[in-house]
Amino acid sequence: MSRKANRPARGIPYRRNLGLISMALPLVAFFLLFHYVPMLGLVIAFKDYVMSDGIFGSAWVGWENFVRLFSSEDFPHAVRNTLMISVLRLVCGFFAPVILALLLNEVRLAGYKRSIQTLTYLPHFFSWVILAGIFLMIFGGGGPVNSVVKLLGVHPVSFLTDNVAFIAILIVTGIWQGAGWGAIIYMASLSGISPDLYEAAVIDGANRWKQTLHITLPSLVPTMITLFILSLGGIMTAGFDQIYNMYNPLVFNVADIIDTYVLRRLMGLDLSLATAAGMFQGVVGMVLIVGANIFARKISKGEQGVW
Amino acid sequence: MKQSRGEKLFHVANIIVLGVVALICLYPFLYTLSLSLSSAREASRDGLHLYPAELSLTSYLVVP
Repeated sequence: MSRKANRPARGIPYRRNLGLISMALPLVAFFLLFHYVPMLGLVIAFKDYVMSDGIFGSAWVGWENFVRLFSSEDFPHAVRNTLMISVLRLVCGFFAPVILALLLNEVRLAGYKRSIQTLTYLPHFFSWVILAGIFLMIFGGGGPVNSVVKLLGVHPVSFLTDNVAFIAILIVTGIWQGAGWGAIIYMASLSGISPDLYEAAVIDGANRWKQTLHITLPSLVPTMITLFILSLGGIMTAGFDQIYNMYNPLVFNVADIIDTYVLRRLMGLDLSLATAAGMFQGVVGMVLIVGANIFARKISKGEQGVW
Repeated sequence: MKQSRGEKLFHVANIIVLGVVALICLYPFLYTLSLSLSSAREASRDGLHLYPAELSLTSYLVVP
């Protein structure tokens, strides 16, 4: 069905939908107040912001903050790290929820399936402050992982200060935390697949594996595309909570991301520079999300895409 | 429906793998729970903290 067929012929009948509109108002107000109004603060990216002069009193400097940002050594480095971590997360972790949902879908014992599902999204509700504490303990010098390493007769490894090991830990623990939560949405689309398709496949002699390959996976593709487009918007934020709680100066080289850079600038009271960095991050994220959506709509001839 | 041997094997392996995954996901909950019920001295010790050591409810009395 094309999108146009859904639209009423002449405008929206406001009078008739007053109830619905009034229900939407608090949400609209929320976004205006907390997401759109604060965007006006972005003007300080183009000013030499001095707190005592205020936002309006500070002098305009044009693009100077951005020039300063990109000619510094730290920021381009932080952008590179952010992209590297995000892309690794996407490549290694994008299919984890899909796989988890498919495996859960094969479990016949309904009670067991439900308990596993509940348990796997438990980590999503833990803050990274707690989780980081646990992982720093597990991978730390005196932790269980190093005890095993010692048992094997190898010298203890400093996982948390080694660049490669640290990034690997970030990615794996990130997947561990998000996979169960991500699987919920796939479980929902799995339950929406018509049983007729499976019955027909069984008559045609398809086993479970063939059914998964030719019915289940193709039915999940629209959901995957939607989630992929949405996750592209987050590519410039590589997971601040996790990294800020887990990193240490020895891995700044690979783990200093845009958000941690912005935070350090804010604490150094260089507000204009921090805002310029944040604005760059937001604009790139938006361009990515809009671009990916246009691309998805184009290759699927308007069938797929988030909007 | 009759299951082939491969399918049976897969189901058993699947249940075991998912069980292990679920236990790994349960761990932080267990960890925070046993830390909160341990004495301050035990809680600050490095280790896996699978169960509360030197059971004490002082943290729950202090927090509220």
